[in-house]
Amino acid sequence: MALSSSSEHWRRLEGLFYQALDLEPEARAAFLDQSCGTDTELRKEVEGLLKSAEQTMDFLQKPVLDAAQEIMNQGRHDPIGPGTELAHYKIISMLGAGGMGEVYLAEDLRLKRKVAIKLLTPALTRDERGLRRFEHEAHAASALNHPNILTIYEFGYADGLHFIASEFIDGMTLRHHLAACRMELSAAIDIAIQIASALAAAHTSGIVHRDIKPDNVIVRNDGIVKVLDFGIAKLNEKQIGETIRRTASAIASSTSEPGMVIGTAKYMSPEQARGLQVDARSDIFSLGAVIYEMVTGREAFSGETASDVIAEILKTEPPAPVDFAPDVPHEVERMISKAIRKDRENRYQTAKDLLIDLQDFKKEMEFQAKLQLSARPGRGSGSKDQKPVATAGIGTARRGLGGHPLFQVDDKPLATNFLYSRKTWVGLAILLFTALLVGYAALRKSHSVPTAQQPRSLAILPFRNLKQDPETDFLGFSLADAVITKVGYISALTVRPSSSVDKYRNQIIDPKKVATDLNVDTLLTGSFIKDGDDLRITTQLVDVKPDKILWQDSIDLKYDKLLTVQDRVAQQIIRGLELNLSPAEAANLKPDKPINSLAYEYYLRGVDLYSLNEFAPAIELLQKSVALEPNYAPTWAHLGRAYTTNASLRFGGREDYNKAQVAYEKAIALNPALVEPRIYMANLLTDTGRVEQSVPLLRSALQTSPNNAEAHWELGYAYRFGGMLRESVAECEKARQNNPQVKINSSALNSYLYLGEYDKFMQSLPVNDSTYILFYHGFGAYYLGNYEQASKDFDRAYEMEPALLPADVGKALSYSMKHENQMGLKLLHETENRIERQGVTDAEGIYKVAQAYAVLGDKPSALHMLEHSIGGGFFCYPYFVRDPLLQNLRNEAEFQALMDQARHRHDQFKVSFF
Amino acid sequence: MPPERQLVTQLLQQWGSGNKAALDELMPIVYEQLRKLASKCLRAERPDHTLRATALVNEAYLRLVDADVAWEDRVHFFAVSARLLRRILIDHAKALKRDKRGGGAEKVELDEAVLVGPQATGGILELDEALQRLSAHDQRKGALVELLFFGGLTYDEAAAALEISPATVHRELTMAKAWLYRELSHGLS
Repeated sequence: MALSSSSEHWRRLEGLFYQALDLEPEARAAFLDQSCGTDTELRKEVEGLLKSAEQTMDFLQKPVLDAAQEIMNQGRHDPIGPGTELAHYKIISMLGAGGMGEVYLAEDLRLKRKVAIKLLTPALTRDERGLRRFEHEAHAASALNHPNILTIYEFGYADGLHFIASEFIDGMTLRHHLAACRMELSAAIDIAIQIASALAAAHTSGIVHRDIKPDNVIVRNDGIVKVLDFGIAKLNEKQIGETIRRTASAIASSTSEPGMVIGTAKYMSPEQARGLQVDARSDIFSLGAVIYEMVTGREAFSGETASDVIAEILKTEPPAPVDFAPDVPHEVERMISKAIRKDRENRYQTAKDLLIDLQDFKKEMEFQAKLQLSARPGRGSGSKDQKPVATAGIGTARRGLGGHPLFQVDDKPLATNFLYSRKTWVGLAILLFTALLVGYAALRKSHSVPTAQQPRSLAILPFRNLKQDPETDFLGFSLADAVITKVGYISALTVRPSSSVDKYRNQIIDPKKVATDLNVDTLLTGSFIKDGDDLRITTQLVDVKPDKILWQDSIDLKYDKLLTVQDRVAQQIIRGLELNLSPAEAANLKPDKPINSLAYEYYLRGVDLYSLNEFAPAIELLQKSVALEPNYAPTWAHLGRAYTTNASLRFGGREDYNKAQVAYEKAIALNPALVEPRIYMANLLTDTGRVEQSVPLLRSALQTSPNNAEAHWELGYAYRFGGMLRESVAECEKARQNNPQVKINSSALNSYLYLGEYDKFMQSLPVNDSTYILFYHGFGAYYLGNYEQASKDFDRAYEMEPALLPADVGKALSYSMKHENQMGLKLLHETENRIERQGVTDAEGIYKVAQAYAVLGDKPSALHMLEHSIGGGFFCYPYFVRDPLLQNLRNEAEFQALMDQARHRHDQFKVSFF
Repeated sequence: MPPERQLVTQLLQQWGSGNKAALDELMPIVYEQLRKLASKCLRAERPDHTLRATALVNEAYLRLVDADVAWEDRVHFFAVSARLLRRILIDHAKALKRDKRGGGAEKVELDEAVLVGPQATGGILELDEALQRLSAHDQRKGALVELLFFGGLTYDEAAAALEISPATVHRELTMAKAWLYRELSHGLS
């Protein structure tokens, strides 16, 4: 049908439809008789539409996302009936249900004991990384064997359900006690002491609870308190974070959402509510809010909706406890108030400190009680609430709906899987890491990703686990990483580093989209499934542009032959892409000598843990691996990397740098062709003030792999330290030339700033919201004289991550613009202390501190920091001489001496390498 | 203002004042943001509360656009979002379908037909195809369904976006739904 007649037809159809619709149904037939005449086709169509119109009540009623949500919410499983068996547990009864899942009383059929089974809702377990982190943390807490921490027996998976088996505690949650009656002061203090004691133990081991609230505390009938769900907040934190941000930003009324986060929100610390990184002090705040509630019978922070609660937490001081409970001793008020300070710096700094105060108070209370008994009717300074401690006094509540009686303390955890038996490091590592990583990555790392003019570009994505099996999940990332390492030094091929493909883990991907994101023309995807000792791995190589599968392969092997996978896949890549190898490359690609299969498994697990930001456990496994098999170069390379990152993030110390260096040297000695250890080693050398050694290493890496963007970027970084700014820009541009990722992940091209090309600098800023980028944005604005903007950016960056070095520097500059120099200097002194205390080696960052000192007028400190920076290997002389921020210092003799020193090293650098 | 927000606001204004190229730059940024938000939603990572489409677009808007932007630009943003959300949801449905065929371990929890409406026979992919046919006949009606059903806009917002009256929205929607419904139930009759 021609278009014009088609649209003519449509218009007629539409007109008739509307007219007929306006008529009473009985009148429509006559109307159509008249208007359609002999065009029965048209008439049938109108009638069809009219009929449809009557049935469209529920059709397209809701926006599709809303409908999707509702369906998902219905899609929860039904409660499990008594007698049902789940793995080797037999369900006895349901104990309660909460946000994280239902809790059942069950019998362990093997060990013939009662256990509590907590089912995790599917929504929580879908994120398998999150699940594994939670497992680590929960096990770590449980492994402390603390009398006030619930013991976990096992993480299980059966019939499609993830569950946790733990000791069964016969008692009620603190929530129920609170609901039942106002608590006696002595009971409240007793409970507070036990919670604080649990937290102190966990914090010492680097584990933060993150979700301390009355629902997560069980009081056994004999008064013993158990804290549950260590680490479980991890499972939920993304979703909580999202919701908080949304509610906190006070969006349109259509999104007000009572319910979900409220329970949790009420005990959240301000930093948590802001979505910032939390540390142990966040738990102290939450505990403070819980004590407040125990003592007063009122919630410290409350509201109709989550956003109201959050507003309270962020802004409002709760009424003094005496307003509700006139008898509360002053000392208790003081402890509460100190625990719930908005600024964590002003809070109790450790749970231990709070614990000591609570214990002291308890002793004092007992003493007073004795006095009262012996010297009636005289009364001590306290109140009528001050009675001898009576832990049984709170057991009067009924067992209500949703109570969580749990289990008896006795056995040690059953599952002492070597990964889970780690005690302490995991929590600390994850906790500190996330924010730092973002910044760290933004500053200088993961600006990876090479590209090429002629070579094929390839991304090897993490393999998908076809079976839901946390035990084998580590293979997904680590196998892909092993292949990446293997083919990394073929010059005819540019392979994206594993840090760039990490994000595709466990994702359904659109190959075209991924290829565009990573700027590659070829993708290797794979999946695996392990059944007993049998492993099946399928891989396919896709040429994205014509969307052609170059080859597909299915490898069946025994689990202990894992090592052969990387060789086989590497060979297939070479054949599939018809790559020409130089003889040296071909020699390097010869299959690896068989190595101890357990060592290889440790290696893969270590690589996986590293990618999950769990550095300490990663180091431990990689160490185990090299102990069994000291001649496998990639393990040493990864071990070195884990040490370096650990040190950079200041979990470790300088000794970690030394260990890293030893490991890299080992890797390079064992396999001089490997590119990665050379790049990592160079990064380490630059970071620790030895940029002169890093340049030759990078140049040699680029000889092996001329298009390696990571190497180019590191070289640009090294040149910047040495003051070769044009050359630095050129290298960085080479790195990011064809790499859309670099722009997002990497820091700005600082060299532009140092060259005085501020506009270019601003243009080079990636578009994202990280603290670093905000800082750089402000810094650029500052140089451009746009102080209002600069101040705004600095303040925001500081708000996002105080105690991050550049955020402090920005804030100090912001103070200077407001003429609050004293405040700025105070902040800088704190920063400087941290630098000294933690052994910060970031010489470029230290230079920024010097700049801020100079601007704020503290010349001696500025010179001290400048000396520290130059001595630490940042001798970017051409920048120093033109840097307007150092203007204040130029007449100082010491400054001249420092400049001479920098110039000398810069000149040497230039002569040696250019 | 953070750089991203500044950029999006600018692009939106440029597009509003007739610079078509601005839209090309705008789409990927908005797409990325919406995709992130939507995939959270679709993976049911927020089990205990409902994230409505409107709220989702609102959230993307708040993250990406300066609050002081003109009302027209805001409507433009919503219109773009609706189109992108449609793409995201369709891609998602396709991916699920692929997985079903492949027998993968991915959990398939969306009964797509229910998304469209209880009596409809087709799922969301069929709806998308029918919607394309509808747009071929009548672009405005296609756009209207897109705004309301995929973008979660209110009638008033959709009216503003299409520059028609709410009454016309109502009338045209009746026709569009009737037509789509008939298309989707052809298989049955």
